[in-house]
Amino acid sequence: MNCQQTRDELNRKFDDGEDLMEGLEVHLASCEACHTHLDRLNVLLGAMSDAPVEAPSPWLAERLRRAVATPEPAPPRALALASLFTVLAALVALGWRFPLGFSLNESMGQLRAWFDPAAWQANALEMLHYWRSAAYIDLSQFDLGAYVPMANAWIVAAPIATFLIVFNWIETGTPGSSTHRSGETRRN
Amino acid sequence: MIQTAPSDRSSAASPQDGGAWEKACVERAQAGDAAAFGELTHHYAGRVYAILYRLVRNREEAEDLAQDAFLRAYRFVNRCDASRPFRNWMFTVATNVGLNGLRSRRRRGFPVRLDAQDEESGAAVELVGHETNGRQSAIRGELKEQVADAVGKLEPRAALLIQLHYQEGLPVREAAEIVGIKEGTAKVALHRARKKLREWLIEDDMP
Repeated sequence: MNCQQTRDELNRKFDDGEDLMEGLEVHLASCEACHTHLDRLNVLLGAMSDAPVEAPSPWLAERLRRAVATPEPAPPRALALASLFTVLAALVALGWRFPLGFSLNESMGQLRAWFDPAAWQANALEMLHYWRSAAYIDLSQFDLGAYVPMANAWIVAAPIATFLIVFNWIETGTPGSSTHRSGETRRN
Repeated sequence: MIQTAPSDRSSAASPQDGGAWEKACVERAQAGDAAAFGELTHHYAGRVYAILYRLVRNREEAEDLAQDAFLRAYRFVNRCDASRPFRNWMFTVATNVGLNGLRSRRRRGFPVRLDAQDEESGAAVELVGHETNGRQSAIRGELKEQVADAVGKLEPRAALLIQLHYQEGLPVREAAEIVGIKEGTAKVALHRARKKLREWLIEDDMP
């Protein structure tokens, strides 16, 4: 085996994570140049086991220990904000469905009717009918009133959608969330 | 600027009995003892930080993610099998948190290097063999930082595998489990990583 073949074999063994010396002892014992190449690979291997990372803050371990030792950690910010927006969305949806201002009795009556299973069934049928015929609606005759049967569905859907959108938005995008306080990677 | 992260491996001192201490801490934490988990946190802080730094390559972000990882681990500590090494479970949690961090960074429009960056910039280093011991150790000191830089140019998962396999001394199979890939995939990634590091850092002066 000549020097080029030996070095190719050393490189292959290094790349494959194999024992570098095995099978090459005879040539390596007699060839200083190839032995130097072997030494370089071994030095690199050693450095890979000890390559440092940028040192963390000296108080990191203590900061982490305190963080987990806090008895009642506050709910995640995203969850809290998403819940707040969800309640607001629910109030808006309910306010739209049951507008106040005429009389309390009227509003309470509407509220009671909303919980009537028969009304739900009727609304569901109306919605099905509406969706089935939606393709034939002439948009020039667009009438907001046509959407009223869907109001109950919106009351449920709006808060859920709001929660999902706000939670996802805060978790992934808002600077200042606990997960992503840092900015772009800065390499030194 | 770049220094070695405080390694807690040597400070297995307080927990000199290693596995038994760790198991006891996990069981106490599962029983609701926050201080026990705090001890585990203190013990693993540097190593978890190093794993996350390999992924995100930013000190502040790695520290924030380390905090998230430990909080998450504490929240779900009952899912940890106390009869198995806590280390692997904790590293898996940290890796998931780190990979999620990378994904969210990408969604926010920050670049995430998925491939090795600027291969030409990996300046070759003269790794001299047959030197005196003092000279060799000086070269090794410089080399550590150059290797650290080169590892930083690898794809994040490959850098993480280098960290787990070479620095934590985990078998490839366990490192692959932690990263969430198959063993064969991890072997291929490590092969490519070693090849790149060799090509970047070792000059072939064969005449």
